[in-house]
Amino acid sequence: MDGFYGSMLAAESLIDGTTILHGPGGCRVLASSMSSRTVRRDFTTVEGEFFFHRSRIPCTFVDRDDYIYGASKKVAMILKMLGSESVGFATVLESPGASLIGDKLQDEVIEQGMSDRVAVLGKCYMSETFAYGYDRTLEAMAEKLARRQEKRKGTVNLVGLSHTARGCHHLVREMHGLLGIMGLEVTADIGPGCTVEQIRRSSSASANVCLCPEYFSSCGRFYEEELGVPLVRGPLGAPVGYDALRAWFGAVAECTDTDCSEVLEIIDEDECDMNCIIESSLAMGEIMDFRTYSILGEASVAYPLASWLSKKMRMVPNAVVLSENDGSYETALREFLGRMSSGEALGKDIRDGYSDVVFGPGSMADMMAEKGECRTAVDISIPSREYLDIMPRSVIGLAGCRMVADRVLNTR
Amino acid sequence: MQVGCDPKHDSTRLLLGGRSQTTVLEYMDSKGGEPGDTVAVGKNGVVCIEAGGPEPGVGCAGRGILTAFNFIESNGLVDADTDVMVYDVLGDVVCGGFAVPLRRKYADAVFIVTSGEFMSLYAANNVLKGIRNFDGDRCRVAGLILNRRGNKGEVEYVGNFADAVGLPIVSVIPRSDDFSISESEGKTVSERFPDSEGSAAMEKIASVIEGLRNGDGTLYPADPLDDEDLDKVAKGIRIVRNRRHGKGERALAVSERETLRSCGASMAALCCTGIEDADVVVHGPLSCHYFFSGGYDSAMMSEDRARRVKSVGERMFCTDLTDRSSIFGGGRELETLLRSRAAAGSRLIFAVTTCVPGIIGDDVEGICASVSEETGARIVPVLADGILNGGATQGRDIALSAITSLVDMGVRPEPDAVNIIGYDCSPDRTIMAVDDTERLIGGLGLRINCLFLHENTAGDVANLRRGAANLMYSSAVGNKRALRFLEERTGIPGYAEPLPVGISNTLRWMEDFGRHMGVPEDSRHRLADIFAREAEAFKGTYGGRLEGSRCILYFNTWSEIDWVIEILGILGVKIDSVCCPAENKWNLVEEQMVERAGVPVRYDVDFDEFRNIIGSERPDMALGNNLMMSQVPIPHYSLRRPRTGIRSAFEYAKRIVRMMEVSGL
Repeated sequence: MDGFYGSMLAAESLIDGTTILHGPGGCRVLASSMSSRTVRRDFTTVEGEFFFHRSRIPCTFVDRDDYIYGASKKVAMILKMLGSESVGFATVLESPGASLIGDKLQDEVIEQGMSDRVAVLGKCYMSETFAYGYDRTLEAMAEKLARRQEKRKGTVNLVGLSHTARGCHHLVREMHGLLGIMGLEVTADIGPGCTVEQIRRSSSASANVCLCPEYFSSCGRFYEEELGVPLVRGPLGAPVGYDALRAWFGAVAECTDTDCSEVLEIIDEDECDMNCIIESSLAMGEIMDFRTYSILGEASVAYPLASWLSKKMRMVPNAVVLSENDGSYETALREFLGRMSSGEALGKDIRDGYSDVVFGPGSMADMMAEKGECRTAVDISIPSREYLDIMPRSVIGLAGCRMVADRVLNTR
Repeated sequence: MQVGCDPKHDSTRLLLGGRSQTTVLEYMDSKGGEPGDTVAVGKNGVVCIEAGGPEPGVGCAGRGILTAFNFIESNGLVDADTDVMVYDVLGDVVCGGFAVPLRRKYADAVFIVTSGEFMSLYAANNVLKGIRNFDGDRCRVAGLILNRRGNKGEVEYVGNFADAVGLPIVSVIPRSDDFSISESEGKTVSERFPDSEGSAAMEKIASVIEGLRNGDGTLYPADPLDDEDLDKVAKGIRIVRNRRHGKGERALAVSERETLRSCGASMAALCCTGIEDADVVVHGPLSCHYFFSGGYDSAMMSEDRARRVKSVGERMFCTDLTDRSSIFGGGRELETLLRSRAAAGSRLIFAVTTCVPGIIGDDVEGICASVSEETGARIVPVLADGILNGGATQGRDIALSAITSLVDMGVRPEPDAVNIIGYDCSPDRTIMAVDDTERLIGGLGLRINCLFLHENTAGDVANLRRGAANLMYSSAVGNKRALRFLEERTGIPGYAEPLPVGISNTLRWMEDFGRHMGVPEDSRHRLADIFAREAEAFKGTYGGRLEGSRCILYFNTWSEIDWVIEILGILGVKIDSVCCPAENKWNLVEEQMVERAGVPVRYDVDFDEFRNIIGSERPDMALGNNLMMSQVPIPHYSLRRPRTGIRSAFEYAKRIVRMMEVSGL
């Protein structure tokens, strides 16, 4: 996926917002389906112009004539229609092709008198990374909606995650619970999904606690510099694996001046329980020792995951490929791999050589397993084979530790 | 500040002593240096920027202007204390990109420079059209500047035009050697000849701008002439206008019938992936590649008939076009990728084009031909151009045309071999297990030569003509078009009736087709007896199981629903009506298949209306082939067309019975 999809899906993370796509109908199909499935909102069917049986992402359905003559009036028609239905906030995006027309979309918004509640992205992030588009679009929405305000102690925003992430909703619930134990209330889940009102209130939070900074980098800077909300990043990356999880909560506690000891106890207990299972299994618990893994994921996920797999599970990397970059985690990862003489694993083709366990987009990992290129495929991101996330599936968080350990240690 | 907005980048040259500067697009293309390198300070403290453009003949210069303006803004190249911004804009406003500087966001006033020649006035009139598109009746035009060429009657000619469009001529720039002399010395005329007539004309323009800044000036609305009036002006005829001229609003496609809702390139790519030993190169941005190759739920990563996992992602590659490519052209990216695939051993490559190369006009055919010649790989351009040539139906046509170039016309037909068009696999394994296609064809003593575009190799397509007949897997519009196309292109005769579904269709089809292919009567009857016995057994178990129930159907007009009517009849279900959503003109539906079913049909029923009908008529169940069926508030089931023959229709019948059993719980 690229930044254009990132943009559409970031705009869709506003539960009561609307995303207007200026582009061909084909460009909205997947994003519209993904939004319906991954953002928690009441399901409605919307018939008629610009929607045509899909409830999400009204679209101008640009055709050849529109490419030649321009079709900004279609955007105006959608805005007019939405205006009459009192939509609280809308984001207008252009498809890769439509971005070449040069339609004056901002003028249409001004003309409709909706510039206070409509953000025009004005740029198509085609072929940028997914997180790049996601991040920039969240920033554009925040610029429109959030204003500097007094901070409320004991409140944070949970950021740095896309609602399309595997197991997103269960993870968000878990993080809310653990942050709650520290006495922290979440004002807005910026990225995983929140309302317009929550974004407006988000600038009152005392910190943005960030899971994967790739999805909240530029927007994080905006919150820090313009709205005075500091960004908390995990010292060891996203909270993947017990060590990174402890470090992440430690950083949150430090920034918000709260006590995380109770949460650390829960994490310790969980790890201890897992270790008991492994140790009592004798040789079976060591079955994965010195076997191989490969990862295709964000730098913030790959770094702590590789650390955990190698340090605690005594596995060695075959390939580690970064789908999204974050300079500091990439450097840390490079250094870590270098220390175990596996520097060449970074950036190596993930399908070059056999891996016992592969972490990556579900469809790719499953295919590798089916072709015998790996033994266990752990689906950590989209695209996946058709699957409904009933069980906790995220690689992040406490349940993520269990999920990863369960899959890895049951590799046969 | 003066910003040159012409790809020729010659606007600021004389302000800089005759040297040219790094343009914004040169800087963006080189990725070296600092954004500030694009800014130079010229005579009298005028800050100079040139937008620049791509090489002539490639990319999209209009997009370049748009990108350059975004660059200037995002890098803060305009100081807050700038007194006046002058945008020097190309007179031919040929697209939205070139018109960017005319946007209200940038320009408070517009001066139009013209000379006394028809083409120049034509361009000036076009600029007025562009402004009118932006502004409507609002006043933003400061007037005309007559840049004299010295032809006879020039002043009157332009004066006539100015009167017609209701604008003043704010300054007349004389025809003078002063300009060429100044230019040859790398100077502006004001600098070289400060007391000249030319310099005075410039000062006059400056004084008008000063007046506008002080609120003393007058701005006018853009009131362009239509072609007829412009022609009169060209002939020196004075025209009197008492109304605004201009084209009426273009009718935009927004209705259910008119709107193009599918992507031609997506379907073209899908068809090409049916050739499994070929690579498919998507010439476009990654988002298109993602959509075509798998998407969210990896619909295209499935298992084949032998339960081998298939991933289109392994064979589909992308040129990864960026914003930069849309300005400078994406030919280089395409060439690089094609070469690399050929070097990796691909002998057959389809290059499918998306919207971006279609708009910027990359020479895809030329690139494919040259890489093909150089590498020996066969590279077939599939010029869908995203949606520029239509939707899914049109994209499929384009792909078929490309793919059938592989057919070996020297191959001779084999009388017992048939090809099947439009075969696909169902993700429902229970349904797949009761597919009667091979039982039916084999039972008639025939064999399948090729399931066209399903798990094919290039060799399968080359040998397509071994098939003595082409059969359609279903009566879908795409299959009908493909049948006709293949008959015309390859000479393989098409059989008009699709592979059958349901009892009576199957029995009739095997008799008719068997006879058509010269299958002996006893073979046909033997097979018919087998199917008839299975049908009787089914009726014995399920006949009348839902007696007294009422059903409403929701199917597209082109759906084959005879089999539904048949199985519901066996189960004892009465059908109230079949509702159909509005058909789209791009789908090129020729036949209202639902009318053959003999039940009342309601057309143009959208889903909300369908639910209203259910609310008022209260049937016991709803069946359809629409994704939205899950939102129906009564017992419902979404039915795909069954596999060929009778058994999968029976499986659906069983599921309908189960549906009613569990819905009562």
